[in-house]
Amino acid sequence: MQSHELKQFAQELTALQRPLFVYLTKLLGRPVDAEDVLQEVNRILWEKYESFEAGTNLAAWATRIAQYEVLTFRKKQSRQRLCFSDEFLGLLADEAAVQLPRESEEAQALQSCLTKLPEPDRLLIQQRYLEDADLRQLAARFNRSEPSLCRSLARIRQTLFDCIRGSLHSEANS
Amino acid sequence: MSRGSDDNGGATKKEAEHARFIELAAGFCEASLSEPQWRELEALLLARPALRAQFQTWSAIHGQLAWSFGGRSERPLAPLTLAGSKQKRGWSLPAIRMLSIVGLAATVLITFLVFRPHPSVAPENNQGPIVASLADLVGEAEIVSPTGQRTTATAHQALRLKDTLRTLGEDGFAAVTYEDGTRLELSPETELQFVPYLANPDNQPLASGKKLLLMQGTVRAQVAKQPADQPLLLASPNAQMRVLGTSLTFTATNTSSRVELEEGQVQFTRKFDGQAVDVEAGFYAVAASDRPLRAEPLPKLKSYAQTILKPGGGGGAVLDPGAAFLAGLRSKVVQTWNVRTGEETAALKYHHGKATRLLFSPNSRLLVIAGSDGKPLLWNLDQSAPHKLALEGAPLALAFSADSKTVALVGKNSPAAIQRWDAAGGAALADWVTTAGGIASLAFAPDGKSLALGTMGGRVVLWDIASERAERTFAVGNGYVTGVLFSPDGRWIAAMRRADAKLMLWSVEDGGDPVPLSAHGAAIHAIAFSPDSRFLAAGTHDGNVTVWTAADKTESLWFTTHGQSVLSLAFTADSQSLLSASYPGLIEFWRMPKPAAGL
Repeated sequence: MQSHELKQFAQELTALQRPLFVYLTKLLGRPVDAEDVLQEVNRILWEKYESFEAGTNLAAWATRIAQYEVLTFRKKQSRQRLCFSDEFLGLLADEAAVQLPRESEEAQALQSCLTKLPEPDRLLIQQRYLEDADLRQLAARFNRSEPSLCRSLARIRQTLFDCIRGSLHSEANS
Repeated sequence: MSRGSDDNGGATKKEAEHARFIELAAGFCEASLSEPQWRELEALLLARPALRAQFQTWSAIHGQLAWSFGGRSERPLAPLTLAGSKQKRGWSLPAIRMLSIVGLAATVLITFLVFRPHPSVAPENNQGPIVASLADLVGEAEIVSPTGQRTTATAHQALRLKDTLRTLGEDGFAAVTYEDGTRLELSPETELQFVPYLANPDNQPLASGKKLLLMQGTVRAQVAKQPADQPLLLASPNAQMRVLGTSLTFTATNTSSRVELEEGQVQFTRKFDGQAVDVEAGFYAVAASDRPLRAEPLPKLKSYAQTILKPGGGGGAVLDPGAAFLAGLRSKVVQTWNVRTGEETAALKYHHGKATRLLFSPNSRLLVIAGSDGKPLLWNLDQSAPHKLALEGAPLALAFSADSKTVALVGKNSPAAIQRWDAAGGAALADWVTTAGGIASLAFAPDGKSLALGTMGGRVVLWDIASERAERTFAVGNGYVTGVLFSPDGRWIAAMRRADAKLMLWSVEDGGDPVPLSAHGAAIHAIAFSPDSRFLAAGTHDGNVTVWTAADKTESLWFTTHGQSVLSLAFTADSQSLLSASYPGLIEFWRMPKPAAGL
């Protein structure tokens, strides 16, 4: 691979980091697990980068490797972590791969929707994700019960979901 | 009957399924599902493709939030110039490749270890370590703790990790200093969070590391030289950069982020696609979804005169339409100054809560002072005692008629009604009740026959006064239209939304679609037409001013003021100069381009 191809590969892979992380979080749930698998996917992609042909679909290649690595990760973690069945994970992974090209649109819509959240909701989301805080930590910090916080976070995510859907729908119709 | 009942039963079952889906999906995101719940969620998603589609977006939101807030996007992925740089020193290609692989894998591994969030970072008592201090404070600011507790900020107060500092209102200004001499100046209405800097193998926040998240507003940063392996990290919802030592201005709005470099250089990265650009001194770049990311030169135009108002007046300031006076709020005093000499010309104590809005009459002799609480005052600058106006609720919109004889306000308690007073004596006139919906801004047409109403729903309604009916409408965007303005010849209406970097120019005669005009800078704060209606100017939160020629909608001029944020603009009577009033209390005079021959 020539240096300009290496540069292109690195650029494309850099741009894919967020979509791949989101893809993996969809399958694994825990961002920390998604992070672990993403590192492994990156390592494999770099090992195999010579077989990448410039102009071909790096995203499709990366998601195939990512899907395989999710299964490997699951096997390693099976005694500690619960997850979907292998068959259902395969279905989710295929559907998530189809949605990968839309990730940046959704990410942009999300940024806009976040600014429309009421302030207490925005603060809760920030605290939840800034440190990947778990429910126990958040509950202690906000002096609330874990189920109540879980419900609040679910409501906020649903609000964001409705907002993103509305935003993408109106863009599609404009 | 039974059919309807079945339908209802089906609908109820779907609602119950959806409610259960929300519960289980929340458990998925919070990693709190038990094994039976995992199976239940899987069965539900298998059976309901629509819920599966929703789950894909739901879990994508979860991943995107984790990515954005978790600081993952700041991790460097690959040294892009490794191969080329090594080759010059005589390394063989296979060795370079091997080094690339090993090096990149090591980079990935190390950066993963370095940047991975760690639950132990959060101190359980919510009292983070002190990271900086509040050196200067003008107007109001507050500090929000990680638990959401708000306290009024005071000068010299310590700022702790995970605190959020907010400057409030148009006159809130704060300067933050670090031990190494790094200074951050927050413009009014700015929100800055001090984020943990996780940059050592133990994932403990480093006391010397600086990481800042600008949620909105403008920060001017003078960054002392930082260690090469520990740059200051400055991020917004749309962009991020690593700063080793430089002077810059960084602005964030809902939709874009902008950096201007006075000294040094930064790599500026757009978050949503990871694209990056190097920005050097004298250049700026904007990260937004609707424009290419590139560094462009800053304008070199200089103002031909300046007036600095003393003592530091000018918070929430407004220039009079004749470009002779500036009115500003300072503590509980409203003052006016001569903009050419800087001398105070009048002062009035304001005892009615916090004054937030000021408006000069077209003849420059009357001033409306409105606050978030208390009744607005109508002050004749030639008299000492103002009239109190009985407005219903805090003011949303205010305007004078072109002849300065009537003042009109809209209060929050009845946002569809325009309350009016005789400007000479303060006597109440009959209200106008419109069908435009909530009114967020208004302006009288120069001929006094119509009003432009900026609505809370993002439209501008041209409202005929005689028939009390809406004549025409045009769309500006989503949310409040915070400013509308007629050109002095009545041919144009300019409309703005405070958070936008675009304004709309609409031809009253043609009535076609409004033309969007993109301002340099972020978040328009002030607009003005020249008296000859030839120019339209817009000033932004980050101190930029753009001037267009109204007739052909082309940009005629762009300059950067030397203040923090542009508070008000006014043209001189001959339309040949533009005055900018920017925070804190700086008036600058700018010469307009001469018309081309034949025009």
